[in-house]
Amino acid sequence: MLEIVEGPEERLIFTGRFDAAQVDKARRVLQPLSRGRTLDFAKLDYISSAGLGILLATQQRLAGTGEKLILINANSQIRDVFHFSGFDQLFEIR
Amino acid sequence: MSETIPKNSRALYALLELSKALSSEVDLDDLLRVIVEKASSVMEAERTSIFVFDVLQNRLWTRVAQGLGDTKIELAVGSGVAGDVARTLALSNIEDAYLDPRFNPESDRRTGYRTRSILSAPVLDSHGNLLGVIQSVNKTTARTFDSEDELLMLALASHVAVAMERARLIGVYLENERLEESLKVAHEIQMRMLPAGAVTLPEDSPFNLHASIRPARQVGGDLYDFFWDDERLYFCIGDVAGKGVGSALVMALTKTLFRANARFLPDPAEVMTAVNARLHEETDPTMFVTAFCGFLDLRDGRLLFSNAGHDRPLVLRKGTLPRVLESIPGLALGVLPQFTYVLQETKLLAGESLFLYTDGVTDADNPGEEMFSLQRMLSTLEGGSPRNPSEAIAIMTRSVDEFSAGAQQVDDITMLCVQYRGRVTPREPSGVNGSFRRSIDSLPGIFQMAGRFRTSEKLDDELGFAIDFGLEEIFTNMVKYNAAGDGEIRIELMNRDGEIVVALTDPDAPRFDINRDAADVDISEPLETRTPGGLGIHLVKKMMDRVEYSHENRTARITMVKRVE
Repeated sequence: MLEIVEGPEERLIFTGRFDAAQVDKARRVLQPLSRGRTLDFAKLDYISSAGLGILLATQQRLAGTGEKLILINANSQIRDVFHFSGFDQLFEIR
Repeated sequence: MSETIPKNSRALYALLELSKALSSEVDLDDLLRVIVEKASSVMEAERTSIFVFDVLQNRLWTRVAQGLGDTKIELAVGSGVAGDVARTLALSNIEDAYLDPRFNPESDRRTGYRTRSILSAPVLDSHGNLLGVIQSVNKTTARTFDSEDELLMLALASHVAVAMERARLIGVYLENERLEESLKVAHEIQMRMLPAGAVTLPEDSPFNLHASIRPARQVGGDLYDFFWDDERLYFCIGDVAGKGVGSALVMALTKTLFRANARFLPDPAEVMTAVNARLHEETDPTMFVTAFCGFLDLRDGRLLFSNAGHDRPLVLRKGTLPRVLESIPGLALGVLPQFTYVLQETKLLAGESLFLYTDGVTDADNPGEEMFSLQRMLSTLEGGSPRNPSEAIAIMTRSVDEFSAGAQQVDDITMLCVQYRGRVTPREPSGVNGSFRRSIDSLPGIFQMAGRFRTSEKLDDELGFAIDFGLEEIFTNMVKYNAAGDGEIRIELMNRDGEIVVALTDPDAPRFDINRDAADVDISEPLETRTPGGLGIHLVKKMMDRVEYSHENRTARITMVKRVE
């Protein structure tokens, strides 16, 4: 359903669907992060507000140490979600 | 009173009285009678008369005269004392009538009256045109009228002028108002002859139709008509040459003839041929009507039509450029006593529309005196890509109005749009449904059901995403905020004629109207203070066309609707 693997250039590659049933999996990966990473969403089909919540919490935590998550390759629906929620102001999206 | 008040004040007083009468009396004769009485008393005259000038006959006649009863005195301009005043437009003060060559003693002889002194003044309107003559006879307190009487007489004459002018204006005004009123009634009658342009049809109707008409004057010469049965839709549009009441009458006749013939004749060409013969018979030869008439077979979209010199309609189809329907124009109706119209045929595909119009659309002017033109019509429809007839007409109307930018509408603007929809099998709200346990663990099953729906309805990624998103957000809310509720949550996914409906029903829930009770989300909040609360509902509302909430007997139902583009 949701797979998160290490990719080249220290990217985290998200595959599948980032929904409420998958937040624990994502939390296990994102919670221990101590520095900023690039999240590659090229193969991510879907994200819900539950997914946004984890990303927000991670971004807020990293901001304390001047670090941040960068999002790349998101599809247009996911970009819309970030835009409609104002998260495109909180995340660097490439 | 005249004895106690000095002469100047007396005159002033009389004039004030007259002004008062002038402002209260509306009927001219009543007013003139008041003026005549006041005039006699203020002039200290035995009699006063007012002559009215008849400009067509170049004569004067007494409109109000004291001591004459119902007898009228009539004089040619130039003859008699009053006639001479009417000619010279100058005041005349005669000391002894019988010594004046202009005086005609005939009237005295007839009535036994003895005329001595006469004071006459012309009544002139504000442009100096003659309206009549006011004349007082026989000063009672002296042998003759003096110079002060002359001044007073001129003042009286101007009062009479005001009264007469005002009466004339009121007359014109009333006449206009009556005309306006009857035109308004005529317009209403005319509009009632035409079927209402907004037609409500059942959802599975094989056609869709909309019409609009805007006469340039209150009554116009444009017409449209339509009626249908299970198999056939008849429609026509027409334009009677000319404007105003005459062409409105011909319009009424034409519409009636069309309707009567279309009821029993087998095709539009025969209808045209029959209407033409009768129109030629019943109207004058300069009157003619352009028209387009069609029979649409509602079973297969076959369109039979005939054209009598009318602008060729346009064929609209989503995704392609609008095109002009090729057709043999034919002769306008009413020109020749016998003319055989050609029957033509085409086929409308399901979804295609025929857009009919009169030249009031193409010929609409703008302040620069350019015409709207067929070219602008085509680009309007191309740019607007209307989904149905009422939208097509709304788009065109807006475009014409924007173009003409308030320039006066000189011709009737009429449009009729017919869309063939094909046999629409009444679609059962096709879709899927299921009931799910109140648990986040139900989500995979819900998504699976949504995936099946998405495949069977061939929905694109955007819609699929929105459905999943709406389902998840609303479902998880129901789980989160009403975990203790009884029973499973029922989910229905439907495609209702191009509208995707996503409905979640919680059989045991407190009221929480997501349209009213959900807190607003401030999406500009900075990172440090931002929380994810409320985001789900906020985003659902953004993604869906509309979200509805109902709550009854503890059953909460949230329905999300999104149109398939």
